[in-house]
Amino acid sequence: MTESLPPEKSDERGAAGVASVPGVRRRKYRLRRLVLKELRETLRDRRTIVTLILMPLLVYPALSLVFKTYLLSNIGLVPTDEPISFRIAYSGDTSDADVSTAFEQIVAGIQGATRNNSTDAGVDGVPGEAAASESLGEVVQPGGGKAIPNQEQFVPIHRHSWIPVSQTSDDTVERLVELGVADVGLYLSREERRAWQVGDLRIVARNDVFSETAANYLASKFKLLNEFDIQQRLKKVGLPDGAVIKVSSLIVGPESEPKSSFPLASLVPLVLVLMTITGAVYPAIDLTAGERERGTLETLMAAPVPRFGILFSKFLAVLTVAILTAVLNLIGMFATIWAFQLDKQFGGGMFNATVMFQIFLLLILFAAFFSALLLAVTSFAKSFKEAQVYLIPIILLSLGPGLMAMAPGMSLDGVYSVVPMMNILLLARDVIIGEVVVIPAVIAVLSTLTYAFLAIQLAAWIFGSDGILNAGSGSFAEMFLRPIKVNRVVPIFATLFCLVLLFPINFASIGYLGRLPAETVGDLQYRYLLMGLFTFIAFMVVPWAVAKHQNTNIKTGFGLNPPRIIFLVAGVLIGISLWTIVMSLTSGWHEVYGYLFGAEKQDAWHHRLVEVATAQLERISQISPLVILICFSIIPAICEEWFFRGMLFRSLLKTKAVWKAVLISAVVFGAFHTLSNSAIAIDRLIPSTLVGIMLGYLAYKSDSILPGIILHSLNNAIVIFLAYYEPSLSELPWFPDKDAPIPLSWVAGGALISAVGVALIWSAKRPIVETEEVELDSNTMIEAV
Amino acid sequence: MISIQHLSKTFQSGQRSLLAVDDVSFTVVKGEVYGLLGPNGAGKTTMMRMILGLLKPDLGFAQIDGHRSDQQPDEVKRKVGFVSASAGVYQWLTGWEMLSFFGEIYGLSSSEIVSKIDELTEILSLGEFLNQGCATLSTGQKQRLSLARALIHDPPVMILDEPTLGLDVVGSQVIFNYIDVLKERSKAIILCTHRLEQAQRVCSRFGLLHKGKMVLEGTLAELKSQTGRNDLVEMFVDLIDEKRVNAERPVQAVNH
Repeated sequence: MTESLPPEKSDERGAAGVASVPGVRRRKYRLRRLVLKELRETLRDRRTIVTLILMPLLVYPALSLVFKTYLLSNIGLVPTDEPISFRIAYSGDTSDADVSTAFEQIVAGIQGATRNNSTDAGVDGVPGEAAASESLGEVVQPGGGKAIPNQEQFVPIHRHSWIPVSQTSDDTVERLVELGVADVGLYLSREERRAWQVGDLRIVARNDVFSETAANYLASKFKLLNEFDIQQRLKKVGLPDGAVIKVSSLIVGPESEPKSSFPLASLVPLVLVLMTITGAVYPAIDLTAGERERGTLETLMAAPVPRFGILFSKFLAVLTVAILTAVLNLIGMFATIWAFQLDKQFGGGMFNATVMFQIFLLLILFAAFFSALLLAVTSFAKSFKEAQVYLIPIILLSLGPGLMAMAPGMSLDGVYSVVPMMNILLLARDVIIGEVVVIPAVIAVLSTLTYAFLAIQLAAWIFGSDGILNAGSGSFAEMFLRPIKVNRVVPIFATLFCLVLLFPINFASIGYLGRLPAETVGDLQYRYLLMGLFTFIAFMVVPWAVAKHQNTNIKTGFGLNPPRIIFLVAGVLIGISLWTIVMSLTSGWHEVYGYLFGAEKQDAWHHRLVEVATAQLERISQISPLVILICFSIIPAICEEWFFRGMLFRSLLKTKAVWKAVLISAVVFGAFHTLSNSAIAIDRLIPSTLVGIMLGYLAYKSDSILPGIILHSLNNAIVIFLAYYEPSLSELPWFPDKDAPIPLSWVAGGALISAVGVALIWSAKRPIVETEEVELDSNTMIEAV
Repeated sequence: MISIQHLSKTFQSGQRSLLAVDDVSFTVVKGEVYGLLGPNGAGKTTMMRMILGLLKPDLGFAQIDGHRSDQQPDEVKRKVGFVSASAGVYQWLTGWEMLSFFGEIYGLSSSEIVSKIDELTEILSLGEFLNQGCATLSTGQKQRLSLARALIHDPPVMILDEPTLGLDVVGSQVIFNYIDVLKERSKAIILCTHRLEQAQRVCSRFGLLHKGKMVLEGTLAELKSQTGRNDLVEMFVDLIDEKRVNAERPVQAVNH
């Protein structure tokens, strides 16, 4: 047999397990071959071609038409090469005859100049003069005729009508503008009246794009008036030689976010990202679930190529198609923007080659992340249809952060810099408007890289599992079959089911509680007790019911064993001291936040936290301490321990190493505290996770949740009562000031007591835990089905 | 050449577990065609996947030419040509592209690939459709192409999992004739099939699987003496009938 083998193969066999140079080269060569094959397969498929080429060709012109006719008219913007009409309210102060006369003459001067120059436009030999006079000349008088579009390098040409305001007060002009009767206002600046010798003009605009356009237009007119043979013109209107009209502007009406006037800057990345996703979806399904369905996956795996190599080649192929899609879309989109001159409204220069290139790099990064995610999901599916079913929720879910990133006032900082997809969208928007802040940008890029890496790991893990070929192995429905024998701990999928349920229950209860009246003390007490009830249901009743359904022994499933005394002592010690460390960690995190996102963000964030805390404190200060003890200490401690250290930790412990089980349950615990306050309180993530690690360790060593309940309730009670009794406590001489950090001596003392507690846990022996697994007999199981 | 030792595999699916292969052992030597027979769901495909190293066995191991498939799957895969009924072809590649792709994956040089494809084209009459896109091929053509694909690296061992499924009489005749050729070239072959008459003609020895257990094993003559039946079809029917009647009773391997 061996003699029939080609020589290279013999070499390779000899080098098996050794990373020899030819071996490496061959592996690279093989990977290239694999990628080429995947690409060839995908790119010959006409379905790929449709998303790849036809979409950008058709979508963008269509989108831009919609954008132009609908969106722009909605925000009061029309392209500048078409004349717009606006109304100018102007007022001369009649109390000062000179001023009034002069002003009216200025106004008349513009009008007159436009009239005059419209006839002798461009007769002068001087180019600048000619151009300026032409430009001025094209302005059309009240109710006037058509404007002739030319000289775009100067000011746009619009028509306007005048609304003279004869009242004594300049406020009238402002009011008219604010009310929208006039689009822009014009008056002589009151403050500078004393010094007024020349032409101090104030332009009044409303805070909308249309009014601002009008104001800019007027300002540019005055600028021209100044620049262009001003002496002569001013003489004409009766002002002294050398006089210059000083123009200042004033915005009236409610303020709005300046960035809200850049919908295009947010829309461009979103559309590009969504199109990139669209491009990646088909190859991802086809190269995994599709190959599996057609049976070629098995053939490929029967070849001497490592599974990761196969997966990685598929990843590279999907990524390549995604990048191709991104490139074509990028070109299509920018070509459309250029052709339809959409960029003009948003300050030209936004879309130059550098910006395009940066956006392209971001799209590659995003495509890498999303391709890996898609592969992880589609590798799981047995057929094309199944893969599509799995992908729909993923794509819908990804619309969430996409749309959130579109919201006005969003900025790339804090938690948003690590939210997948959203961070890339916000960063791309910042790139377009030219306002990139370095640290959040780096965080966004690094976190997306991390997600891409994790997604590839996940895909490789799924791809490497036996199930990848095992087409007939089970369905989701089977997970919910009731087992026949008694489980020692709740099966992990059932625990995950409870975990998934926790979030909607939590959000629904927060929403419901928020609608309850909160006027009297009775209202508040009722509300907090109800909150406790919801916690009880979500964390205890539901897990209990699921455990019962899964035929799980409640005592072993939730760790209700009586613990040894030493663990209770440790729980008390840590419970009374851990809060000092947690609180100093929280303030440490504030500093980190400030460093990452700047002092301004830190202040804003801190301010918001203080606001929330103060509001809550104000509410609870009226409630009886007993209710507070129950609702903030006892119920959360029992219920959260029941679920996190009882059900979740013990489920994890069955299959995972101890440290992994502790860590995973702690992170979930931390994440839950981050989300629980109806807003995202990222500052709680790290402290809560650390508390979770402590509780997990205690639960592991004691094989019980009872010491943890004591620790948890003491910790919560101390924190809440410190706030509750703060007014009277602060009168004590040794009590630190409200805004001051915790004294170092307190932190040191707390750390010492906690350390003693941890030492006690560490020194104590774990009780012998029966770990006999319930043997699953295949026959009985199948009959049960 | 092929040595299977106490191979076992259980599938876990949610709360359900299924013992797909239960302590199966057998060997196949060069120039021998081993017929692995059994009703649907007997565990044949699972076993073949374990032999190839596509699935990891829970217990036991499979060895090909001294390499254990759970330890050196790549070595094993180089020595095995694998054809299965479900093994598809790449729709958007031509037959030639697919063969050359696999040739490269198995580490053949371009000249070797060309000569090998020429040789296989001759034997399996691929010439008429080799430059067509695979999507346009008939079932028989696809299966011949699959066989060619499995032979591109001239492996000493062939594993054929129902290679004639869905083929007409002529189509399957081509495949079985080629199995004869392979036998003459002293390949060690494992053949799973439901075409019992053909198997009876081409196979040297047989193993009958049922519910993951090897219930009968030996040459045709041995099987006849053990069961008192004259051909495989009768033995097969007995096997299934017995199971249906005595579903609860554990069945012992007759020759194990």
